[in-house]
Amino acid sequence: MTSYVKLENIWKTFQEKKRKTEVLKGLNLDVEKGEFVVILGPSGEGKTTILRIIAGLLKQDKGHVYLRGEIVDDLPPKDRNVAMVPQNYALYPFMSVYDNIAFPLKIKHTPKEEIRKKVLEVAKMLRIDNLLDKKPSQLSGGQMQRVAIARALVKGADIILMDEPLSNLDAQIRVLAREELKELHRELGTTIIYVTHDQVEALSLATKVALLHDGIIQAYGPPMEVYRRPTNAWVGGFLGNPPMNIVKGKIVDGSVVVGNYKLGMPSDYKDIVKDGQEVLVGMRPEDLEISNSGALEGTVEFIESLGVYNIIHVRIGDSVIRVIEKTYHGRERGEKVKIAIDVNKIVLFEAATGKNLLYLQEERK
Amino acid sequence: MARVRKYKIYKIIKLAVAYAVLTIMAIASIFPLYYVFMTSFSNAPNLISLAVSDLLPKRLYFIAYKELFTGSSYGGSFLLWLRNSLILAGTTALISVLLALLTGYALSRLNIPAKKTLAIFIYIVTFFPYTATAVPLYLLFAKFHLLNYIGLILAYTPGTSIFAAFIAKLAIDSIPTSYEEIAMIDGLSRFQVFLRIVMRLAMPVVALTAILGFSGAYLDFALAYAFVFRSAKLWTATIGLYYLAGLLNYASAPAYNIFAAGAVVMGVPLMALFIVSQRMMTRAYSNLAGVKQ
Amino acid sequence: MKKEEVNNFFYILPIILITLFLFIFPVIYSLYISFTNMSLLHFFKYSFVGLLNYIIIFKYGYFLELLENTLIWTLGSLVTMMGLGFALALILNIPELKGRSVYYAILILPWAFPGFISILVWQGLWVDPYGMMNKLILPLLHLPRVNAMTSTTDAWIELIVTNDWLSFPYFMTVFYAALQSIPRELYDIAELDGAGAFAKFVGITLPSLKRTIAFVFISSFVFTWNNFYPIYILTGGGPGISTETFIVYAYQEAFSYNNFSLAAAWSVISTLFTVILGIIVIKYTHILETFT
Repeated sequence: MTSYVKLENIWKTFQEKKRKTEVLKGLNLDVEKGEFVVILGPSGEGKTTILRIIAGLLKQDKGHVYLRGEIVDDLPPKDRNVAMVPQNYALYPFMSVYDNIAFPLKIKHTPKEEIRKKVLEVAKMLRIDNLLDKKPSQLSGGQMQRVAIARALVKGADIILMDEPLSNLDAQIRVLAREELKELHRELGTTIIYVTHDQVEALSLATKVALLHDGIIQAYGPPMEVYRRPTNAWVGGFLGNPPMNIVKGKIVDGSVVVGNYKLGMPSDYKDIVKDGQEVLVGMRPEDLEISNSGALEGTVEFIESLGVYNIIHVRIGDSVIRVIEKTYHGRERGEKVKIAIDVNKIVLFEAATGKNLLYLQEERK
Repeated sequence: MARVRKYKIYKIIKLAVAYAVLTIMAIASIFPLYYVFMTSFSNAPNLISLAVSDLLPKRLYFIAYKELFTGSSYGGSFLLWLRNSLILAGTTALISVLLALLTGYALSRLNIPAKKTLAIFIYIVTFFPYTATAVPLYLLFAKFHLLNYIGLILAYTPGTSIFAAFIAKLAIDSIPTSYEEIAMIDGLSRFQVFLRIVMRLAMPVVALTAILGFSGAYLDFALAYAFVFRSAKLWTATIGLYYLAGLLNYASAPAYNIFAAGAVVMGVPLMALFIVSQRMMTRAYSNLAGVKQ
Repeated sequence: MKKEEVNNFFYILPIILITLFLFIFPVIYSLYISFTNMSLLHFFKYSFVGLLNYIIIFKYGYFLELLENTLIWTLGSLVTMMGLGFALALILNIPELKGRSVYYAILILPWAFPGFISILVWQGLWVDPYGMMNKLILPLLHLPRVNAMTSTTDAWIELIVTNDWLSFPYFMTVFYAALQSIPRELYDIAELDGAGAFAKFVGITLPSLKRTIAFVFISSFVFTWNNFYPIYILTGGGPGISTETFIVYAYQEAFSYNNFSLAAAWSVISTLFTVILGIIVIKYTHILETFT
């Protein structure tokens, strides 16, 4: 279980004229060989910066980068043996597809026959072998993306960095491309570090998801684990569509109380919480149900009908709780409803810091 | 109703005046060029014998062109001078391109200390056209034995390069950095990336700089005259043309129609080059103004 | 400085070296020479003479005359060139005009054809009485003969008319582009409000073009001040020195009379003017902001 790509305590500040922006604040990340790690986070928070630092295009202010177990801080990009697929594909417009893919090998002075063999191999794998004579301007978005991936694969690097490669594609093509990417990873087994702001992509592609916010990784683990057990309130609220409901609550008499409503106590937290403790209560809309045996009471404020399911916005006091209903119940604005919860699916966060109480407990150990 | 008619009459008068002015100016614009063109096809040896009727000739004489390309004077010939000018201008264009692109790339991509002061400093310098520095350059180059073609090339390059460097910077600004980054990840050094990738991506600016550099050097007279007048074998085409116009020595001036032929041979290609460069400039500027593809 | 920054400095080095050696050093060197007595006689062995050359210039030389000439040349050319270019731009801007691109293509020719060669051609046109101007054109227009060899006024006419021919297309193009960029709606609204042609011109056109006119004026001023070829080739500064400008005079001092130190002094003076004017341009047009 040795790490293949490791970022240790990475700090990076950008200075523009008089303004300093601290983008990465002591970031740590540990990627094992063969993993498909997706760094997920809102735009502009440093995802591309991380990729650049791993590639060596940018130097971190503090901290170390390790590749394949060795420190590479002072190694220039060309010696790190990584490959990159940038967001805009960066296919050279003045070269044919074949030459674009062959370029990395040409630079390494690989003999012509070997170049030909490798390019054809990779092109076949990505099903673009019929496009080799074309110029980038003649390709569609999806085709360009595959050429960019082919170029990254051709030199046989075992670490591939991808910067939002699907964001320029149409929605339908994106779904297909996602599947193909997953299939490719399964076939090749290369270590992929992939950056995106789209959680659907992240959750479906990754073997591990790393959530980036406020300059550090807030949560890191297999997608479902990060989803079900968010490390803090921000993570909980970021993942999921519609996002997790997070409301203020208190522990009273061994039970979670929101407003005037008693919800019970989730088994995981039973021994951790103290009476009188202030908490943030996290409930996922899909774990809630509108039924007469519900503990929470509120008024329907808004209804979104999305075909596959409906989102009911229920106002309780000064918060709004979203509930997902799969079947159509003909709800109306102003209708008074009760919401039932599976108590054990509730997540509790420390009110002051937003940290998941479960993890706080583990930290203390 | 009267108002409308008055307005219509006003409009007609306005257009009539407009067309009149335009036509007069058009004729004025063309006349000297038409005149020199016709003179080159005449057989008038000097201005005195150049008659108005030569402007609407009954036949064209090619003798001027023949003399131009076969004659020789003071040990040099027009062909020789043309060749000199082409070599001079070509080399200047090449060096200007490299210099301008290199500087433009640096200004755009690299983190250089005191970039702003540098820019100011360099820009001030562009206010010295060749002729303003003719005397000082001559004196300085005389000292260093550079009163020759190398000196001329050195003298011509800064003028174009500096202006072109700024255009190059603006153009390179609009090229996404991912092209270079990917090449660097694949193993090229930054300089190689500059040569092989950026120069190709910035082709319009390269062409523009080449044209500007070429024209600037090709058409200079002041510096060339100061530097290489001493030997007719070293003359550039501009000096040659000056001689052909009879301005060097009134007594031994060659035939005027030969001058006209020389003017046409030198002028027409450059006119075409100018028009091409104008198109490129407007395209470059509209790209910068944010008109993305 | 970090290693990366030092490395990057090399990219900028060529242009810095070139600027230094081809602009700064020559000017400094000629400043030095202007304090000596370098000339054909004293080419290799010259001695320091202090401000002698400058005294010669200001006391016995023609400083004031040359200053007056340079101003006449610059302002006379500018006003006429800009006026002509502006008028043509206005005409081309008339919406109902047909054949605009044809006219424009022809009117561009004086600018497209290389200036140096045009000037040589014009020199032949102006010769009195054999050149085409005096032989054909002027009589056709019932205008008097122009002889730059004998009359100063005629010389100025010759110079300024030629310069106008050479330069009006540039101003026409710049002003036309500027006019095109004024949104049509401004005029439409003014029309609805009842503004006549004159009111629209003074109220909308002129204010919108103020910046362009100013920029063009100032930068062309500097350019014309240093414009060497027309005067050198057409009149050579004559008759006498009545059309000599700083730059032509300095060149002739150096290459016709080989009074290098005097020529150096003259070019120092001329350069000083150019630098001051240049700084004014930069300050006024804020052009540097585009580059940082």
